[in-house]
Amino acid sequence: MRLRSIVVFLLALTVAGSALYVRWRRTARPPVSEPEGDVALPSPGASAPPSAPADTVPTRSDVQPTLDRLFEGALVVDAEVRPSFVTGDFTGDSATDLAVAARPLSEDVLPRLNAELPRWRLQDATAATDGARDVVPPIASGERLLAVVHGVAGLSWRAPADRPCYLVRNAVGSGMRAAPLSTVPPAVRMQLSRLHAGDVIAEERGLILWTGAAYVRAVTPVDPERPAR
Amino acid sequence: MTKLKVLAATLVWAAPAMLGWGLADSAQTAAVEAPTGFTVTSNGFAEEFCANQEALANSPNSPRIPDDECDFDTAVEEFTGPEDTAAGLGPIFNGNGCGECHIANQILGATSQILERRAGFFNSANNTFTDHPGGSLIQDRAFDPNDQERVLPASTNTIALRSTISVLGDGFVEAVGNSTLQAIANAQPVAQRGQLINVPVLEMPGTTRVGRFGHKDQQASLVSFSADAYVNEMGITSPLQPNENTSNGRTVPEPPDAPPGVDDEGVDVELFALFMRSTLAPPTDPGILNSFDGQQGSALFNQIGCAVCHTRTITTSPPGTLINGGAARVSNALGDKIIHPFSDFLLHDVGTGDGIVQNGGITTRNKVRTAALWGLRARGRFMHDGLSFSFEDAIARHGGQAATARTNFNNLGATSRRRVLVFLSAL
Repeated sequence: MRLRSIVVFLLALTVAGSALYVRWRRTARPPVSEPEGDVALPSPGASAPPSAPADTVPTRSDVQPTLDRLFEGALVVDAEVRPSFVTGDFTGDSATDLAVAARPLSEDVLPRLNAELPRWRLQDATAATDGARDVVPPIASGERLLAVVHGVAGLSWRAPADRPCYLVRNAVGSGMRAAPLSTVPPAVRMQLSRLHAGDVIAEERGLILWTGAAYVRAVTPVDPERPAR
Repeated sequence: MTKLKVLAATLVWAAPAMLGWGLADSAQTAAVEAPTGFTVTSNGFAEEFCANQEALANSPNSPRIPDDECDFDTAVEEFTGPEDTAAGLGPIFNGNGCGECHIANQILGATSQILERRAGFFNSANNTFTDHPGGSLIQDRAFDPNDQERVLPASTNTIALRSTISVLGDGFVEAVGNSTLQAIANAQPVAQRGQLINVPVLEMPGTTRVGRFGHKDQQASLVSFSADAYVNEMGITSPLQPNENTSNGRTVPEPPDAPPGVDDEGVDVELFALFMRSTLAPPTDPGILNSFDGQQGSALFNQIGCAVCHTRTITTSPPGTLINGGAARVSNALGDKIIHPFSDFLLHDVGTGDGIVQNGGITTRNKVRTAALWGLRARGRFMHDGLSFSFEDAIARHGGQAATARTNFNNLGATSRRRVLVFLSAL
């Protein structure tokens, strides 16, 4: 009996001592005097910029289903504009983007297009880039819009996943084509906040440029030799 | 015999209680929440530092702050500015005081709408980037019109805008250990993993540390950051940055009343750092955050993957830890603090550029530091270039390593998307 009591006593003493030790260790933590040291970083290999994947020329039968999917069936390709769509690397990320002249399908879809939180961004290519474009009037019936679908992460606009999408007002013109940014005069390129590789959208009235956040109509120098339209 | 039994029985009952007491106490000494607020109030660092400068700072080439200048109010005043030519301002510069961009006395957000430009030339043929003549940062002001720096088209195929970053809570960020940032990166999925870079610590020559300040993580210490900004934004040289800027690569004369030699002996730089280290962390809006929509949005923020890079919670290193190559020791005011920056402070390619290379080498050309979302509601322009004017605009621009999160956001129903936005408006 005496032996059992002594054993219990010693065990209890051990537990209590441990508790005291834990407390003492936490309380009397010495200052950390060792420098934190550098983190060993992997040597980054020089990675060449990705090249744009080859993309076949789209047809209207490719484009309309894309609009249906990404703009919730609210847009129709505007066949009055020739060509109605163009592809190129408008964002300079080596992924092919799509720009389509489009109109609302009907008045019925306007609430969908003008929803509070649509899955696309509505912009005005002629709005100032310093903030005026965050107040954009709602889309009207029959309004001509440039629907832009971005490719991302090396995948083109055709990839089935969600794509960044934009509806751009005052950006549609006939003769749409993709023009390499390098061919744009420096006076225009320098208007951009960010220059990049890739293309711009050229049409008869001028150039539509991606600034990195918005599509804007470039102010192009007037060519005195060119007759006014 | 009986006494021994009683003593043993008492100890048997008391021991578990004592064990609990010991462990509970260990929990109490663990990290605590960092103080927050949008007020010009010290977090306690200034008072602690000024009473213990020798213990908390040890730089061979950055001076001690004189005792009569070492206090929070002086640091606020010095940070706010403005500077003048007699203090060394110019000859080319972007602002006449830290407070011109990082609004200090009206501290809300400690940021502004001011954007800066950087420029350079990227040669895709050999994958190299060359700074614009005079450095990638364009100084937009000059005292002499003939010294005005401009972007030269012939030397430029990349121009980037850079927004002003809030400095609130930066002292806590500086106190985050290298290994903590490394652990955050390690925990991220490979496709979203951030990049760490080691950058020089100017006040401890020959040493480097994991970068965490600036859009390119180009600085790791607030003293180095201050000296860099003093010369590049205001044109005021100091022992850590003794060389004046050139205008498009051309040396230009200082104003006639500029101090001879180095403009500042280094005390101003230390005071700027003192201010930033003493700021409170940006607070959330509890009313919005605790609302039903705010709580739902908070959960959705995690579920759709935003929190992979916009890291919610980081704990600073323990007091006493040597940081900045040994030039500083983590104080009690900043050590063992839990912060909620909503950033991993790592570099990611989210598809927005900006095409400029600074301290991180060519692989960081199109990477930017994850924007810290704390204090988000005090800002009106978003993303590194300040070109997004709404949360929705900013989310829509996320691509690259953030494409999945953006896709997940877009795949939410309208109510859930709105809840995420409500949550963001609480930060």
